Amino acid sequence: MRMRLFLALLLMVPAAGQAGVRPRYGGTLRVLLPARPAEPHPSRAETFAELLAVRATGETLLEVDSLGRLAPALLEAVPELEDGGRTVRLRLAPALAFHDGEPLTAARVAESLENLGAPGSPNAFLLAPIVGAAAVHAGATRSFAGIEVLSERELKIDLAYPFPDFPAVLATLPSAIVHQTPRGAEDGAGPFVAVDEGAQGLVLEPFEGFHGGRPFADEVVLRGSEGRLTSRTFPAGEAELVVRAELLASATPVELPRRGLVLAVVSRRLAGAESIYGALRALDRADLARFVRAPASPVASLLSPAGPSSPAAADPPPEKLPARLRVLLPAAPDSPRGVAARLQVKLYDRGVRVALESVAKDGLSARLYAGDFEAAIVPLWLYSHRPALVLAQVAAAVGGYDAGARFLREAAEADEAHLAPLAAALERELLVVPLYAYGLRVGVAEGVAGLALHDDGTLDLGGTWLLPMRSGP
Amino acid sequence: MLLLLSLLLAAGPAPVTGNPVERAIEELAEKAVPAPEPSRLALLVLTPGCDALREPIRVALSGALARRGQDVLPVEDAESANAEGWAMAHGADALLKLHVTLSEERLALVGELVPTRENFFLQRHARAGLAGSRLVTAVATPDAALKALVSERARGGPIGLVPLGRLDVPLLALAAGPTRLGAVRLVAVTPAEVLLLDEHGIRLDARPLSPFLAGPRVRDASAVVAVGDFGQGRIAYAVAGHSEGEILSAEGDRLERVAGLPPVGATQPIASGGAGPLFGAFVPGRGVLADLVLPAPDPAAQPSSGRELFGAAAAPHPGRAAFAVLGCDYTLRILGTGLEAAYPEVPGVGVGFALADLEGDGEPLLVVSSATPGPRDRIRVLRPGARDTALFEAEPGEGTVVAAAAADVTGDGLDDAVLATSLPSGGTELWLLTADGSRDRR
Repeated sequence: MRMRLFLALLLMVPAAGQAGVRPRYGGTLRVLLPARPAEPHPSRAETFAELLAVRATGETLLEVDSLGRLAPALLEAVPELEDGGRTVRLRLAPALAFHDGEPLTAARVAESLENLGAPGSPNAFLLAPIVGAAAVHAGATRSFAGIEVLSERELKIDLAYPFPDFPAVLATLPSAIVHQTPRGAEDGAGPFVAVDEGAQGLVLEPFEGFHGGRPFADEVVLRGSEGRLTSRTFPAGEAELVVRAELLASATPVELPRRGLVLAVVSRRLAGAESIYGALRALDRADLARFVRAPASPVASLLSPAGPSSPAAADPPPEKLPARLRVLLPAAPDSPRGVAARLQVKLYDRGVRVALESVAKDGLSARLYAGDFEAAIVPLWLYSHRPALVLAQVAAAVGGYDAGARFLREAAEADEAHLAPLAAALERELLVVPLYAYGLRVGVAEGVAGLALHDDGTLDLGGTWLLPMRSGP
Repeated sequence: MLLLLSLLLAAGPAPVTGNPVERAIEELAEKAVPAPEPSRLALLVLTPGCDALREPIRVALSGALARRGQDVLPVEDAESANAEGWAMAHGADALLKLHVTLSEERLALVGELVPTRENFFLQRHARAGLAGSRLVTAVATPDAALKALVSERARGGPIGLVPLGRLDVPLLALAAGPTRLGAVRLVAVTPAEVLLLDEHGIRLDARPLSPFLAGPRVRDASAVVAVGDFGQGRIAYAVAGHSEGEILSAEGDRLERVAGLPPVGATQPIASGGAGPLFGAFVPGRGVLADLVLPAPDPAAQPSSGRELFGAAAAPHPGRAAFAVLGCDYTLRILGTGLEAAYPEVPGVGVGFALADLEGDGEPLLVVSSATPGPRDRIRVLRPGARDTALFEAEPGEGTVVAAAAADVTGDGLDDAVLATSLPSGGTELWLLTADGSRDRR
């Protein structure tokens, strides 16, 4: 079950709140996103637009229900851990299939997890607890030593250390199950099939064999809201849904959960790194959040608001600030340029001339992992609100696979009282300053109903349907 | 007229005369007591919609039974809901429960003879159901005096909405109608089971649904249910995405499987009323029906168009309008007994709709919910084909009307409508729309 948002009413009410109407099939759902999504690849998805495309085309083994509990998706039931939290047995629901009709078997699940754990996968850290994960990530072997296919529908996963929260990994979007088609593309098992990635955007058609039922819309088009559509006016005639940071003037918007996190990172190689880190930590983050177009909240620590606040780190020793600082930020339409500019002003007041450098997303990650930067602003869309996964995602985004894997293990082994100190240690070690959390706004055209949210803030487009006024008889 | 009728029916011991009503009563008594045998017989006479008939028929039937050696104990009106228990408490050997229905064409007498003596072999006790019971029937053509009662019956009062009951589960479909013994029952399909409810919405029995079909589920849970003549059973239901539907009997207020219905994709009953059943088919993989309405099952039938339907309704007392089907564009098509278009289409109709002759003028009215999304719903009564405003419109109420059904629930001889409103809490509120002035209304 998912959180149902009946946005046409702008009220959080259950499904019963649609007087005399029932979901109907048909129509095209046009969705404008902050950035244009590429062809969906779960293992590489990181931004909201990419994750939404994966949500529409992919399906995970588990999902998170409206109460934050794990619920079965492709699995028959939520698995229980055995062997003191070191083993988990997965049993697939019956009669599952990929978009191309290939049976979705336990062997296919194992292959999909191998792709997620492979070299170059930015989200490989999620599978780091599995026995043999490091060898898979290093490219030494393709298969996890800790994954055993038991039958057509069953597989066993052995973990290198007890991790009771491991099933939550199987509910994150990067873990959505895909298989390689003979033509080399990735094929998923989600509610929609990607059929075209042309000028009009990413075009999706319903998957009749989706285990959760055929989606209502006959077509979905995901587009980036560039050009004239960046106007703050809701383009009601051109889209059914608009997901944006800005306030939408002509539609009453609904805020998505604040699962976006923006970090500042300082390189340890930078002369005066500690002083810059101290200056960034000293920034008034509430003031900074005011320059964010999206709904935003200042963040005091990595586990806030998703978890308990970490204690304030000790102030760094006084050190002379560098005269110049080059700050990287992602080159994307939804890049936090406004905040970067504010940061530029604030540091200028402290005598630091900041030069902003936009870098393509992949390039930014590579330079961060290589230490080839002075400072950077890094936006993340959190896959989960569970503390261990939050810390691991941040560590991996800034420090790469090894950092993600290490902090995942430390968080898995930490009791609740030690999570906040662990978060503080991560910030200090990787010179990370969490700046603010943000959400997006969804504008919904009249005649759109049934829109629901997943726990990670993505939209359930499969359950969204259109009244006749929107899609015709 | 009543006096005349009483005299007519109770006039002496003459067993057979030229009066068809008397002949029917004698016939029924003969069937109930084939050989004269002294015993104590409790008698309950139910005359829904025509109270004036009750006493004359009770007197006439008591006389006919007495002539066959029966010591007749009339069940007190206040005890009618527990007639069997009352009969046992008064030492009766059996209870004859007689349902009398009257229309312009016929007077129908349907009696159920229930053994009520404590008997180990029959396993009889007050709550044991109807094991060992027997059905006796007789029919007569009404004379002018009885026809006068029919026309008197047809004058309904103002229409009003009355709360009927509340269920703690959501509803997918609802039907209403008389069982074989004449008692009106409601049948509700929930996501997990079929419920049999009495006329007050009280749960009498339940039966789990068949399992889901293997493979992809249907995203929009949906069901059809009908009360009518389906051979051995009077209830037919089917649920989208489940392996099969069923025909059920409700004898003794227990739901018993009589037969399975073919799986989704084949034609199955989707509504039933005075003009008979209506058959249709779910679109495979979806919770909506294909554009296919048939008077009988037809495996070879193809949809008339790509249009999809939310559901169908049948009038218990059809006139020019006999059936209605709601398209997924929220437009209602009103069909005659031959499934021809009987009236112009009605746009803007929500998924809770029924055809009910609330006024008793021989032409069913449209009872419809709203197709405008919102947290509250609105129930209206419209005259088919009329351009004027609604005959009745309830204040918008909390929740959404998800299903409706029509039957004579109050027993006044006029159709009523039962509407199921899905509440935000997840439960269902049942409402009665009636012109029976004896009901408290809103």
